[in-house]
Amino acid sequence: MKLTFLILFTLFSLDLFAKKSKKDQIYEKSYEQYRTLNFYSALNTIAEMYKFQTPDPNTRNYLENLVQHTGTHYFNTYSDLELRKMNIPTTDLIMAKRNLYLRKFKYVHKRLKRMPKGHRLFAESVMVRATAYYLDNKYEKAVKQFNKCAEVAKEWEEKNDDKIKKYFAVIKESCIIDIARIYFKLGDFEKAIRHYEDIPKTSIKWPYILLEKAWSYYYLGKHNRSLGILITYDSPLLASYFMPEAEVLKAMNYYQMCLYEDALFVIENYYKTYKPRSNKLKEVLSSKGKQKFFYYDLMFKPIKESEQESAFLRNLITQMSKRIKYNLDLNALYEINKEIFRNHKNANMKMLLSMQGDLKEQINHYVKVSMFKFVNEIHQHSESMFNLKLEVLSKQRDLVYKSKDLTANRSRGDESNIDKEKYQEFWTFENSFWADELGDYTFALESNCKVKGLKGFRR
Amino acid sequence: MKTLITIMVIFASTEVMAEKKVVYKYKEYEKFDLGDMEIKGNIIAPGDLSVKERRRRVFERDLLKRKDFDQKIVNDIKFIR
Repeated sequence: MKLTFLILFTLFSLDLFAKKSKKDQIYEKSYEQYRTLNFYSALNTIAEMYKFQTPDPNTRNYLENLVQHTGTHYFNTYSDLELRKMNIPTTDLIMAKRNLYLRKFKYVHKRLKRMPKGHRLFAESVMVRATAYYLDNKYEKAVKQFNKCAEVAKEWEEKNDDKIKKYFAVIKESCIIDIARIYFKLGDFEKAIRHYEDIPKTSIKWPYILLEKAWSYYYLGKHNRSLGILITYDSPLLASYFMPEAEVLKAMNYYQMCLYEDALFVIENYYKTYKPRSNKLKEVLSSKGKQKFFYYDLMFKPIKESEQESAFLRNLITQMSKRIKYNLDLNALYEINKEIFRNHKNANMKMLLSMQGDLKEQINHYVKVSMFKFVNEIHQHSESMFNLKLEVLSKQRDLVYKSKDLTANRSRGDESNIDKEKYQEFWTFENSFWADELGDYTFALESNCKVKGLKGFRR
Repeated sequence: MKTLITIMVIFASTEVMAEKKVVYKYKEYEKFDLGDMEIKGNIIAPGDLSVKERRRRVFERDLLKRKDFDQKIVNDIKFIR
């Protein structure tokens, strides 16, 4: 009996040692790949082993270190179960985001509870948590978390350089904009505007928030301000940021001021100028879009070529090339290519080539979806424009039937028609445009909504 | 008395039977000269155009409304990585 027990014990301990040494071997192989700068191969080697068992703290630190070099997209294809086994802050964040899109807010908070405060993804995780509160209609908590996110991101922004600095700047600005959006939803448009104004004009987010700010002024009834902000999109500096919704809002502002002719002019311009351009874009996308990497290749085409094909194409490419996701994916692709071309003996070439293909497909899909969303947006807003046109015509018809006319004639406007806040200054236009004025314009038009009876007509 | 009543009944029934059936005859052809007809009255020319105002139906189409930027908030997260 004793002998049997001894033999079993020996066999069991040998087996344990064998397993331990296998783990060590894989770790050593991965570390060697890491040491020879084959980061993607190293991550794949070690991560494959921990799909079904949780790594020890040292290996978890090593995995986190690797992800700093490779980015998080490697884990995009992992299932939730595999991510849970990995048990590192990066995979917790990926899982939290997945739960956010599924609106499972309880699990978002559960996943992010353990995120270390000193982790480089902490600011992003606070942003995800704040968004979960917002979508769950817990606005006070959301504002608190978005403020925290802005503070943390600012700290990281100040202690980093170049691309990482830009990443934290975008996180910080996104969180401030999201606070403005909460106040917008709650109907506190003044507060929303004050938060939008915290975004510097140099920010890549700035052109997008002009529209949101213009909506706030529209709801406050300050149509001159709203129109002034929207006119900024006509500046050559913002030529790439054509927004169909901005055109609708422009026409609606004129409509609310009873400037029906101006509203009709904007509407007609939309149909005459933008709709044919959008049809042309759709034509280009439909005819060539079936090529496997058409959208990916489009991003690297010379500007002149893409401009010739469609005026909107160039605008969209410019907008997309500034997005963080696109840049992170592209950066990862360059790094993978580097590893492939170095052709080191430690590199896992099969995995690298497959990953390269996946990433190219991912970028291709991302660009494609963004472009078709834009085309759809134009067509969707053309319906809004149609409704508005009918309303304008209806109002004009009513005036004719009631034998009434609008009070004021359309003129350049007057300073007395401008609502100014204490912190707002006013300078008259002196025949020159200044970059720092962008986004701060206002119209000075008189509302034309008071009507009078037409002379010479009897009721 | 009986005889008197009987005589009166016989007399009355004979008188009823004696009534002739009336046959109405219409003209088969009749001519009207409308030009020769004369209408008595005063001619009043309208001095003003008057249309009775009726209640017009008001068409109110839904104009574009922006209630929130929820989709943009989610996109901000999606576009980070």
